[in-house]
Amino acid sequence: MCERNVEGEAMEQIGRALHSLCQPLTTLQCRLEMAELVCTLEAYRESVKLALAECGRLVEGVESMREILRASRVAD
Amino acid sequence: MLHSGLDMHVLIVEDDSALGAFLGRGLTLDGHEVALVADGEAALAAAERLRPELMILDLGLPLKDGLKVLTEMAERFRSTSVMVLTGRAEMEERVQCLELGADDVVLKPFSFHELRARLKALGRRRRRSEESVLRFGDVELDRAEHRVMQGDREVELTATEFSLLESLLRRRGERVCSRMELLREVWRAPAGMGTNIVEVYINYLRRKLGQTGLQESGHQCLIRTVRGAGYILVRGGLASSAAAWSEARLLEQVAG
Repeated sequence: MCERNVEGEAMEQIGRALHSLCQPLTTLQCRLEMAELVCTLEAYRESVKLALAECGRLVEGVESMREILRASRVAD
Repeated sequence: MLHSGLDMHVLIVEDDSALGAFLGRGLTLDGHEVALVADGEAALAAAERLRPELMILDLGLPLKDGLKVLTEMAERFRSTSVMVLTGRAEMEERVQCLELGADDVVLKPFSFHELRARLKALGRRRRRSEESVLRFGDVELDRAEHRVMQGDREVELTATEFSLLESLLRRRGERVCSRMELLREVWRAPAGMGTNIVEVYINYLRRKLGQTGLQESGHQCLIRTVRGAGYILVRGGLASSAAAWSEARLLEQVAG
């Protein structure tokens, strides 16, 4: 019973973390697509800079999911 | 990027500043007039002030939840189409949004290509659903018959004047129409072309509609110049609601 609760809580947290990954992932994809559409050196440069910032947010999101998994294994 | 010819006034409601700014810039490049707000209460205030044709609404918003905003939009601003953006994958939520009045629901992460295509489709549906007869004040324009009546008098217009009047009537006196918008819609002109021709044709229209400034009646359809912004239709000299679009441009917000 307790085990199921821990698992359910972890799933819920991972669901939230996945949801929060959607923002930077959308921004990243759209920025790269727009750079392709505009197709200038300036647009590419700006997109690479901003895409790296979004990658940073994605890495944070993945880290928080790892943390949730680690915590749920310890609880098991 | 190419203009679709279905350019709209778009209000983006997104609390993620990076995504909001990006969407604003992308849609502006596509030819849409864009404003951006970051919470639910600001969304409703902006809808009241700007009367957008389309709202792009994120669901997870501060101050007022996106679903509450959607419900109020459906009750108070039926002429605004709403496209919901959501990061929640549950099908039930997407169904709920559509039942509450959303015209479309897009699941994050999405492609900008898909968003543009959905916007175009929404624009086409809006145009199709517009009535064939446009009316404002004492003026009635019949697209099917290609005829304009002012009261019981038929007004003879050239094709360009007809198209110009149609563009103004489509805003129903709710929004200022900029000279650039008119250039695009009526003359299919590229950005950068001079706007003097718009002023010339506005004057032709005013003359043909008997708008001399001396004989305004309470019901008469008038073309009013909004300095620095464009033109708006008003009834009998009473100013209408939204001269605010030019002040609400997203790029100004982003630059600030």
